[in-house]
Amino acid sequence: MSDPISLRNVSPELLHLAHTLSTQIGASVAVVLRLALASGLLVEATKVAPDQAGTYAGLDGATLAKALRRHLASAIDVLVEYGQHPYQAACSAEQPVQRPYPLEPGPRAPSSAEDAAVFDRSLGDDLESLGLGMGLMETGA
Amino acid sequence: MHRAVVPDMSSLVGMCRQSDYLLHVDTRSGTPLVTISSLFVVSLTTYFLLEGEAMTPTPTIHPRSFLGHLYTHQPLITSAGKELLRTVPSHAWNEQTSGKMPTQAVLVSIDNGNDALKGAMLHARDPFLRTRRIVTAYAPARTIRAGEGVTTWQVNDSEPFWIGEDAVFAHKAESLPIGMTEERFADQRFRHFLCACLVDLVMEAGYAIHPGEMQGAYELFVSLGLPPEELDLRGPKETVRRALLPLLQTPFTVRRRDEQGQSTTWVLRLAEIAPYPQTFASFATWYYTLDGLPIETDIVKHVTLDIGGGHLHECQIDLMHQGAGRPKLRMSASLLGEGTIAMARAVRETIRARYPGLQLSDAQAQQVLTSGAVTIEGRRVRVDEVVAEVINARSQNLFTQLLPLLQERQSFVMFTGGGSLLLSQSLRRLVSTKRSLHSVLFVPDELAPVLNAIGGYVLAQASAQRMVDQRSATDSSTRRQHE
Repeated sequence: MSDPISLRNVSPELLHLAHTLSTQIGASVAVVLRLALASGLLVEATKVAPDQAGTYAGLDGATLAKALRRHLASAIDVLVEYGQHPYQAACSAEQPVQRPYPLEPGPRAPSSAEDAAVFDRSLGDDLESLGLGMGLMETGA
Repeated sequence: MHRAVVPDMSSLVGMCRQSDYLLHVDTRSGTPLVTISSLFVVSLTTYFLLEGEAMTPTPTIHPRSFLGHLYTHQPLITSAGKELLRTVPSHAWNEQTSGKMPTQAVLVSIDNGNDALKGAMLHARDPFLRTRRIVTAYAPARTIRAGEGVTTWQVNDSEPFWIGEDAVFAHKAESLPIGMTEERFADQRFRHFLCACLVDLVMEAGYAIHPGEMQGAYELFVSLGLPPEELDLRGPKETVRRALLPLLQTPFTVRRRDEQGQSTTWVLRLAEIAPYPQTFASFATWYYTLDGLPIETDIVKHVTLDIGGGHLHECQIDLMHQGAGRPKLRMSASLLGEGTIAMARAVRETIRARYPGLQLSDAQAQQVLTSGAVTIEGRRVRVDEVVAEVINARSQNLFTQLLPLLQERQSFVMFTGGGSLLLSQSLRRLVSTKRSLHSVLFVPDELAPVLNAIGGYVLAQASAQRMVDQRSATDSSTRRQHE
């Protein structure tokens, strides 16, 4: 068995949260912390860029996604309920449906105004005055 | 000539902003000496030294402009510390439900040049642009029995083919059509060439992340550079629109087998095509900052001269400064004549006269023009003299078209395009006799061939921001209705 890891540097707020959860779900604090470690490490794995082999901290993307889904489903519910989902703009107008093929817009690609810069409208306005900048779909393809 | 002692850099900045003189700092002696030359007007200094900015070695490039950032290899981060948009809200048609579903389309920019296709897009994870220049050449793939392979492409059920330099060096390199968009996109080989180039660009930008063959499906928002004469105030001309429409919303399955025989498969769908005038895009990189704001400049007439492989284009922008607010823009663009293809064809004819029977495609002739070498009887043979002779003789014709513009001295002139590199020496010689340094900009060598594509990406940012705004407005409205 490996040496115990000190929780000295874990903030009191987090430990308080662990105790509260422990009471609420009727499990020991150790169990709660083990669960948090599992969920947290999976999330942490998504934060690093994939390595040369395309794995995330050694985990295959598909495997990681499947594992994460179980852990994050409830978290996503809360985000959506309180309007904090980073891709809410893309999700809320219409319900996503089954895609004809897997859609992967690339790792860590900022996709909404909250993630990326607010580009000043000056250029857009200049383009509009010159009759430029409109897509074929926008102009009635 | 005056001399002044400069105690520190900040006072130098202050002096530069207030004066109309170019300052040369000589630090070889113990005390820095500043030579103030009254020969140059210094709108230059406005760009040259801004506190907290990287200096651009070329004073006519503003350090906060896209061009300034790219030239000094700065990350593309806005003044608010944010990255540019990589994706834009989009819709895909779902055949199973016969309905639209929300997706995100990745922004890419393509400059559909006659001699080469140029592409630009942000890296998937880093705030730096990636660019590709792929010679417009196509050749049906041949079976490589042994040795190093050749990257081979296949789109849907097409024949396997090679592109770019791989195709140029093939025995049966084929010329893809040169000219107007409707002529080029009518050729299926060209459409397949485009798909292969898009995958090549996406890979360059770090999207090849899966270890297996399937690399997934990508929706793309394509900012597409077209000859300026194909667009007017209402957008692309009808013939152009009709030529591009079949590309929209159609999945293309692109298979790539690399030199080691490893295969990857990509599915691309062009969710949107936003055409832009190629040469105007280069101006956009010079004029706009990463925040989408115009730079401060006292220039009122800016002309971009784009010496491309197929054509020589001029794009004039009038910046109409107003009492308040940013300048209004007026653009006019025209086709001045042929680009370097005229020289490439002349080189081909000269070589054919010396080596009867030697057939070169347009793409191969362009390659000879830029590399100075040709394959003859199994060997690479230097033909620098032939190339130099032709450039010397034919460039005069091209310069004749530029002369009136250089002589009238009413505009600031920016040279860009691959041809400006090829003709760099003689062009600079010509310009130096007609213009002062502060009224001309030669786009730096590493950027000139791909600047139109980079500018297309700048323009795509504005389109993307508008679409994000529209989506947010729609969502707000939907939420209000539900409440």
